[in-house]
Amino acid sequence: MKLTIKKISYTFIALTLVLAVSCGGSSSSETEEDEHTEEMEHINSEEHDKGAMQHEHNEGEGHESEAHEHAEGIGDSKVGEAFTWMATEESMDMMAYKTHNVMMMKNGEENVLMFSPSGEKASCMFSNKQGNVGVTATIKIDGNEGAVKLVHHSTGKDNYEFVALEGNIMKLGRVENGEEKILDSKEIELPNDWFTLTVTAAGSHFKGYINDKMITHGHADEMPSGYVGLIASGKNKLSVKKVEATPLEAEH
Amino acid sequence: MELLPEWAPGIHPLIVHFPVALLSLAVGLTVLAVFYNREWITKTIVGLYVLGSLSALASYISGRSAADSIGLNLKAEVAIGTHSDWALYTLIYFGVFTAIYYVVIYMLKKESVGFRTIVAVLAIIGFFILGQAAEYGGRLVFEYGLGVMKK
Repeated sequence: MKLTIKKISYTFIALTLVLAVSCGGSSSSETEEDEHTEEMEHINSEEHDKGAMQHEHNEGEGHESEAHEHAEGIGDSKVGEAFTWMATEESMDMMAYKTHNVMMMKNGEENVLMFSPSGEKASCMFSNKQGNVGVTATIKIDGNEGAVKLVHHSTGKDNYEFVALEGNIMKLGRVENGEEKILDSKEIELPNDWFTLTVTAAGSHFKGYINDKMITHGHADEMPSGYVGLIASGKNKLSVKKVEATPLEAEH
Repeated sequence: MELLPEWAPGIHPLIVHFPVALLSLAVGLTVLAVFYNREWITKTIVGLYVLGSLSALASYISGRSAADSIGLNLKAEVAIGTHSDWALYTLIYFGVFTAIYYVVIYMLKKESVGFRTIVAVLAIIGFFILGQAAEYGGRLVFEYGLGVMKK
């Protein structure tokens, strides 16, 4: 009889512990979420002020480092809104900045955004800020000397994530405080014609795709929300027809 | 000769139910063993944890390969990552748990009620982790339609 009571007591303690652990876990995650939301609001208001002060300078004429730095001061930041950018004169408003060597050009009947780095860097950045996101760019690369980067989570020239095409290598990585870290890289056969380059950032999972086929997959800590853009360097010419950013659904 | 049935999108859906069934049964018997301790139950529990952990490993490896081969699916991207993370936690948790359980039972010969209770609590926590992995796996199929052929 004594032993049965002992067993029942142990079981009761065990179940109480399990309940306590699960309740504790869920309430702490709720608190974290609340804190995160407050923090985001705070950051947004700060950035908006900063953006209002800095937005006027340097539009479309600095070199890459100045221009990329401009991401820190983009004023019109809507966090997590999907957007589709098509190469038309009107759609240039969606761009927060671009360097002087990024221009809208005619390619037959259609418009394309042409990046001509000529040994420097050519870059552009879009206004909307994104958290977990999938970004797809419809591009064409002429030449094989240089790199093309599809950038996301950019909060300045020293902090961003990217998928890059360098010759026949696709690299997935991030730049944190100016230091580049490669999360994954694979050899690829670069398409000669138009193709889609996609990068997804879902929590700690990062993936790079070409024509919807996954090539690279890396893992790292989640970065704070940031801007999406493109950087071309070297002697390649990069043509861009379309850029789409889709916020990825949060799990519940 | 093709080993996989034509309707199966890969080996992962064929393997994934083994760890769920084996580890759930093992957890159930671990709780039962707190009240009703018999040698055959202990042996069965050890066998189930070993097989469950091995099938979890096979399931994780096949799952990674399945996730990398499905192509771009932006709607399911976060759920795929979350499922993969919980699956990894399950594998690590039950792998370590099984190794420790085996050592304590067969080498240290511990079988007191206190020990069995602690083991049961740890097993229930593991069951919660397994449940999370299984839930996200189920959602990938039934909510996002992954691995379901659309004709």
